[in-house]
Amino acid sequence: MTDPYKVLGVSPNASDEEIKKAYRALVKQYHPDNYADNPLANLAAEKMKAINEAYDEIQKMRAGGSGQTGSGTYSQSGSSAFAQVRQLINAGSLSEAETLLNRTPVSERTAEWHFLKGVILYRNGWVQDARTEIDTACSMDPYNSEYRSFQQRMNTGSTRSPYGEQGQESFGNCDVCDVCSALMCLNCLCRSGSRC
Amino acid sequence: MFGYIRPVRPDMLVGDDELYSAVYCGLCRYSGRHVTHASRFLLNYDFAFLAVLRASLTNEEIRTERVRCPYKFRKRSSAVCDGAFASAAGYFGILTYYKLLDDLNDERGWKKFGKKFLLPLASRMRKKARALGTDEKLVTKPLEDLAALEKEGKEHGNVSPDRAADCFARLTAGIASEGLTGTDADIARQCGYHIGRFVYLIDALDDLEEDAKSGNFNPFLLRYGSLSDAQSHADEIRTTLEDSMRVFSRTYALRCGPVLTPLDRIIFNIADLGGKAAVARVLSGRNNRKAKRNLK
Repeated sequence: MTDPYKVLGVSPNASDEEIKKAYRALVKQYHPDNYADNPLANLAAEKMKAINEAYDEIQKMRAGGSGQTGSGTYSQSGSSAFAQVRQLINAGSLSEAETLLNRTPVSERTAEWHFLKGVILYRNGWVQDARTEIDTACSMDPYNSEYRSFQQRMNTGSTRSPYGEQGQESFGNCDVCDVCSALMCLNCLCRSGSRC
Repeated sequence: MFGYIRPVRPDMLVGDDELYSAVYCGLCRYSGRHVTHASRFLLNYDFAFLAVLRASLTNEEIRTERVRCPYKFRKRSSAVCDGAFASAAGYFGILTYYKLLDDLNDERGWKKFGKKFLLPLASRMRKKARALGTDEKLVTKPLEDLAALEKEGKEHGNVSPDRAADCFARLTAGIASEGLTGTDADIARQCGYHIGRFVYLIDALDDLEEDAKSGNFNPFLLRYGSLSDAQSHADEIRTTLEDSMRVFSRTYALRCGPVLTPLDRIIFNIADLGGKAAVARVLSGRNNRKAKRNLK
């Protein structure tokens, strides 16, 4: 195994708190949920595994408590044909999954069919057609959280990028508006106190 | 490839900006030395990005040196990174040759006549590029598929933008992942695919008016029916272009270490800010001086 400190990007002299902070940041970044729709989801899972192992190793070395573990797979129930399609998608056999899916008669194409079609297209890089299918699935079954979360994930960039929407948030969570609103609240409290 | 993939420089760190300029300068010098001097005037941002991406994916070290540029009349920082530069300059030479061949097939009249004179120069660029060890098959096969698809689109009109972009995307995926193995190759292929998809589709968007007039193949005109219909779907087109950059950004993040390198930051800048800026530039007509359009 490689140096666990290098995996977490901390120096061997780092405090427990620093290690925990680095670990949490990496877990947030490589969590399988962020890559569920990505063809390289298995790679993210591997990274996640390496991060967990490194954290456990450091915990053991420091004779501390137990490390956290966390991983997630991307699959859900459905009809038997769709379950098979899901298995094929997870195994990376996209063309086989698509062939199997296309055998479904047009009259039996449910929201799940459109969702799975969208996932296959997305993994193939056909993003525009994928969006159409996912939107169709969401409109056919608006309360399905799986379809909704996939749709939302399509709109999010990398959590790692310093220029992405989430990356820019990480530069600082306190902006001028926050300061102003906090001061206004404090001001209200002060006034009410003086009147009492 | 036509210079759409560029960073938003005001948002870059000063050191990253200097490194990016040095890479551009180094690539320009390298292509001047190895792929004819004329290539220095034809090189564009897309290939500078390819050089940055290849250097990062192959973990090649970039060294900088101070050199005098004959066209800037002063000394400037220039990068030395032979592996990535050989790939970027080599495929630049090959793609320039095939672009010229494509133009000669499409164009008529004086334009065609003028471009015929450039053919010997492009052939020389191709010959020199081959000597750099580039694999021409990576380019020819997808371009043949694209030509067949364009023919099919003109005859039957049933080619979606995703399907059309797939050919060029496979080309760039092959270039980005050349020589890599395992997960590195998977990441490079996926990154290259979405960069190619983005470039192909944004170029189609940029040529929308011209293609509507000339009747040339354009996937957006086929998808939406007419120029005005395509223009009214500007938001949908913007979304699909930005989607590619989002997938690129998320995929590239898989190979980043705990601490981002200057190359990582340059690549994220281009993916997260440069992509959006390029789409906005094209939609507002700022990218194409000839075609002023009023899309929002």
